[in-house]
Amino acid sequence: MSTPDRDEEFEAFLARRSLLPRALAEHEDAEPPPEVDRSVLYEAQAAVNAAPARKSFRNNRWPVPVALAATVLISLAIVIQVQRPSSETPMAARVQERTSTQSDIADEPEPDVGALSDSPERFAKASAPAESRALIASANELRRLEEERADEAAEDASTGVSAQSRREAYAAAPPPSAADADASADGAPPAPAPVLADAARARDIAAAESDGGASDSVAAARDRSAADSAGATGARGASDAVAAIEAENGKAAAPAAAASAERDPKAWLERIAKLRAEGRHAQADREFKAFVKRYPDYVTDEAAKSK
Amino acid sequence: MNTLAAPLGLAGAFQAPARTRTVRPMTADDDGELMVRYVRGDMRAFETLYKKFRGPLYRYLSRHTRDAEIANDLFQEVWSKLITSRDRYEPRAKFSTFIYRIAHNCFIDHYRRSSTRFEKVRREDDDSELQTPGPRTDHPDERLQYAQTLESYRAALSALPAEQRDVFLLYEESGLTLEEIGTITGVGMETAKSRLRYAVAKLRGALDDAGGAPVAQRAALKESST
Repeated sequence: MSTPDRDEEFEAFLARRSLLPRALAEHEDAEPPPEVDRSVLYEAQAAVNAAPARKSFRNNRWPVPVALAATVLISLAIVIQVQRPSSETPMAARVQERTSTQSDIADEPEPDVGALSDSPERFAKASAPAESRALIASANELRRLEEERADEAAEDASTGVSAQSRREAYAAAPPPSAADADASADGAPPAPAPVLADAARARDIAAAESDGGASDSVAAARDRSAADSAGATGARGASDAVAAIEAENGKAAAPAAAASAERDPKAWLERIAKLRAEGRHAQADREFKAFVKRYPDYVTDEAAKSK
Repeated sequence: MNTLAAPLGLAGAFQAPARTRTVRPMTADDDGELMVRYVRGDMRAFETLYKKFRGPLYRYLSRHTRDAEIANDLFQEVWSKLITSRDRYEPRAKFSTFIYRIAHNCFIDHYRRSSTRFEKVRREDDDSELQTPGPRTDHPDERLQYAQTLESYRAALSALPAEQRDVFLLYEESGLTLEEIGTITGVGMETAKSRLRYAVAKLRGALDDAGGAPVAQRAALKESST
């Protein structure tokens, strides 16, 4: 088989790529029928027409990475969510913390207001945030009552009714109940009767100092205030403390009417003028200093005169 | 660019290469480019490819099967697979290698599916092919001899082992190199060459036994005289 003739024939075949002569090879040139051609071309055309949607899907390289990233994120979220209840529950923890804080406040011993009244800073430190609202409410109520008291004093001056009898009527109100004490501890405004008593005590101190500064009467009033404050609830103690602090700082020297007058500079100036007319110049000077301190930009006749 | 650069004295500095339009024959690279264009939706590129490969591919299949219907079916199957798998075509691959690999696989699948039926059909076709007319000639004796030679040739081709026939037909019809044929059939180049050598020797022997050699000589003389 590997004779030289066979090798030549094979080399000739490799060069010509056909064993048959052309005349015979042409007969072997078969071709597909036309219907097969049409079928193939139609299929190719249909594939081209349908290509865009499939091509965009196939060539899109984003779905797989995005799907992987989404899977990782969801898995992490689930893991974190599963681990969270065992470590902490935010709402439950906050509620528990708040409850414990309130119970701690309730368990705290009442501050000795009488002792704290000597130092406003100590009192402010001793006042817990939960109690501050009750204290402010008591102070506001006190101011409002003092305004009413000033009005009543003006009326009394005109009608002749004794202020002392009115105070006794207020003080005769029943003592606060345990429910009242609980309510005040919760931050609710105190009952009116004790507040009225507190206001009466504060006014007693202020009146005693303003009426000539009799040290005995002032001391008596303070003692009474301290004694009453020690047995009162936290809210009432707070209002007592405010009154005591004001009295200690000299603010209590101003009568109740002064408090209302301080809110209105014109009324305050009228009051100062009235004091001067009555010959109480020392007090008038103190009032005017306080006025200037509070309203430094207010131009008054006296200021103009002093300048 | 040159018109802009000349007044500025920059023609020498930025001289663009002269554009020469050359007409060259279609190559295998062009076939790959046509396929890429078809993948992008150019139907005319596909038509060009189809026109170029339809004949050789059909002959490869029809000479394998020796049955027109089976050849038609396989032919459509090959092009259908080509259309379906066009996105997987890479321009690095030679297009003829790509399509003949598909054809080879289609034929192997068909051969495995219906080897018994294939043999039966082939024997029936042997009778019909005897009646096929031979080359054009005025002499009835020559026509008969040509027909007998062709029939002997076809019979010898059919009698070849499938691997040798596959390599022989691929070499005759596809124009691929032996190395590429080895790649398609999954063998080395030397194995493909050996198969081809055996196939050529057997076919040559069949032609000699059938008196094909004198016929071939006469045909060759006729070609040279014309």
